[in-house]
Amino acid sequence: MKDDSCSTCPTKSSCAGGCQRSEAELAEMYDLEADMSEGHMIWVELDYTEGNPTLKDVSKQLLGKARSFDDQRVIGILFGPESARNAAREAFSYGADTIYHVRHNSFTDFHLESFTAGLTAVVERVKPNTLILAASDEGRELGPRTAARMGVGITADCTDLEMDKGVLRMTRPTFGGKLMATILSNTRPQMATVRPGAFPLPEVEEGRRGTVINWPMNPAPSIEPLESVAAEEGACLTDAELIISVGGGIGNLRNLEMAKEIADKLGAEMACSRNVVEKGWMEQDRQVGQTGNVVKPKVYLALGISGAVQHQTGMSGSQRIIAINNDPDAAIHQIANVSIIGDVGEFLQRLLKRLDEEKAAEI
Amino acid sequence: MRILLLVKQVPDVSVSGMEDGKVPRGGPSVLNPQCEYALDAAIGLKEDGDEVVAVCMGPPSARESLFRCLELGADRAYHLCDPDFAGSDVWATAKTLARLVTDKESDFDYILCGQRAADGETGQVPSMVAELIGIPQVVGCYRFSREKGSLHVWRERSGWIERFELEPKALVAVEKGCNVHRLPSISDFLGARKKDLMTISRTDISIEREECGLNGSHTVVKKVHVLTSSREGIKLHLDDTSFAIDTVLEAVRRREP
Ligand SMILES: Cc1cc2nc3c(=O)[nH]c(=O)nc-3n(C[C@H](O)[C@H](O)[C@H](O)COP(=O)(O)OP(=O)(O)OC[C@H]3O[C@@H](n4cnc5c(N)ncnc54)[C@H](O)[C@@H]3O)c2cc1C
Ligand SMILES: Nc1ncnc2c1ncn2[C@@H]1O[C@H](COP(=O)(O)O)[C@@H](O)[C@H]1O
Repeated sequence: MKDDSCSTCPTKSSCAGGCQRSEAELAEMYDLEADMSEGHMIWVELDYTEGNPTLKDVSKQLLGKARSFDDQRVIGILFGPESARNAAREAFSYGADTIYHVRHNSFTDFHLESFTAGLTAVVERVKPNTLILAASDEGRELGPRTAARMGVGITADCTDLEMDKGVLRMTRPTFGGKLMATILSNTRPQMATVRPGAFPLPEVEEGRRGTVINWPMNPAPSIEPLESVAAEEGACLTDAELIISVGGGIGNLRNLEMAKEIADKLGAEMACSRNVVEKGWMEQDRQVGQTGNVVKPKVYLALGISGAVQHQTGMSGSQRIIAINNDPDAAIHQIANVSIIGDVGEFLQRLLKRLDEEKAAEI
Repeated sequence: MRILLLVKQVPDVSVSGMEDGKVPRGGPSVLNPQCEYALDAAIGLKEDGDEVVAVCMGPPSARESLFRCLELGADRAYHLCDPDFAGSDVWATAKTLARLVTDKESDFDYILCGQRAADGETGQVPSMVAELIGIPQVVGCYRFSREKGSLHVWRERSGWIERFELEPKALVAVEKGCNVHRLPSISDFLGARKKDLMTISRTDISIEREECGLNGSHTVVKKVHVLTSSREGIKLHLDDTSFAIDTVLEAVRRREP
């Protein structure tokens, strides 16, 4: 059972605001040189909202998961300026016992070079049994670079983790999501990146405390963008709640126009299969699948899509799949919650007619 | 300018059925789609006097992917092919590729990769190669141009379009392309067979048997199983028109499972 006090500090005082001691002092106090090869270390990714750094959900999920493994220590490593300390406090309430705060004022942004150096240095000091990172854009770079620097294995994009007597079983989809592979690492720390959303958010334990260990660091030279401009509001498929997606079975442009009109009326985003991109009917940024976007809407309405493996990779995470396809054996019907076997054109006409009638009834 | 192009050949899962969870080997294979984009980018950047060198580690059949690169404009190619390389995980793969680069092509300017491979989809190899060679990387790129001896690349991240200027000796992973599947002409096709395609076995580069293939891998696949859908589907025919439409509309409006 955890009490309110710091789980690291021998004085049992709570200093969630950060240890006021130097690294050297801490090293002495906490026996930092000791091999703690039992603990789990999590890279804590931050979200910066103007002046108020908070933890990303994925970090909370990973802390919660690590906490559930066994009674080992959960150590977080967080990069950020002085002000990132708020996030450290948050990390304790989601399961961290100790936070290494690698500090520099420029660390409000992701610095691949510096973070790789910092992560490697802290891992070499702490020697954790496992090191888990989020499979975010940043984690997907930081993970393999750090693994290569330390000469250890890494398993990317895991969707499940289990701990069995110190051995991490990492499960990840492979072959376009058709197969699940369970992978073990024979090097330490066992490293994995984990997809956001793979685990539920843990309960907050208010008042749970821990120690923040400051780790000042000079940034390593790294390449910076020459310029960055806000991307235009293009297709925002990844966050869409409702997607109407068309495939080869849409047949003709008239049907496509009808689908777009319906999307407009229902407030849906349009997407498509690769077949439709190849026909030149829609842009590639609307393509869903292995070589396109990965979407996870509440409802995915698939119109004339066969459901090829490569397409499924991009949409099987949808909460509800509705498929309209005239072939009862089409693969998409196997994964759909609602399968409608019939002609897309006819379906669209009827749906449009229904929406028009509803509108008329309102007036 | 010398561009090294790392390409992977992947099984074409769209045609080979995957039964009983067995991954088809020896079935039809294709050049990994994102490596096609990288190939496109490399050829697009190439000017007179430049060289594009394709590198692939894979079984004998992977030569086909290298021929595709040569047909579409690559100048030379290396095929890392040796039973000792079989069973490599990302670490062993990256190590072998990096060793080839430092041993044979250390005077490269840029390394282009696909962002991730369609078979494993891990996207780890490029970052590991960059780290092992000790060069910076920019991943997720979709646009490229040359400005006075350096390479400019664009990528989109967290809602921002970032443009980087890269001095020589950097790695770029290509995420998107224009998705064109070009067909080589007859003369490209014939010309490709005359280009230099060198097969490299383990002893041609400075890597020990214990450092590569299954032996050199740090991760092991414990088990593989087929994902079965857990969805309880309902099937309707469009003939029950109004019911089908009602069901769809309700689901769409409620937006809840
Ligand atoms: C390496 C690789 C990567 C790929 N990446 C992607 C990717 O990212 N995304 C992607 O989508 N694809 C991808 N593909 C292609 C994929 O394999 C399929 O070829 C593609 O998804 C097929 O698109 P489709 O289902 O729309 O078309 P089709 O295969 O032509 O299927 C059309 C469907 O519509 C149905 N239909 C026809 N007429 C009607 C009608 N009147 N009413 C109702 N239904 C009708 C048919 O029964 C059929 O099921 C990739 C392929 C490879 C090899
Ligand atoms: N065996 C290989 N031979 C050459 N390049 C490879 C190999 N494996 C991976 N790559 C490169 O790394 C990219 C990403 O692959 P992966 O990390 O396996 O998803 C590919 O698109 C290639 O550019």
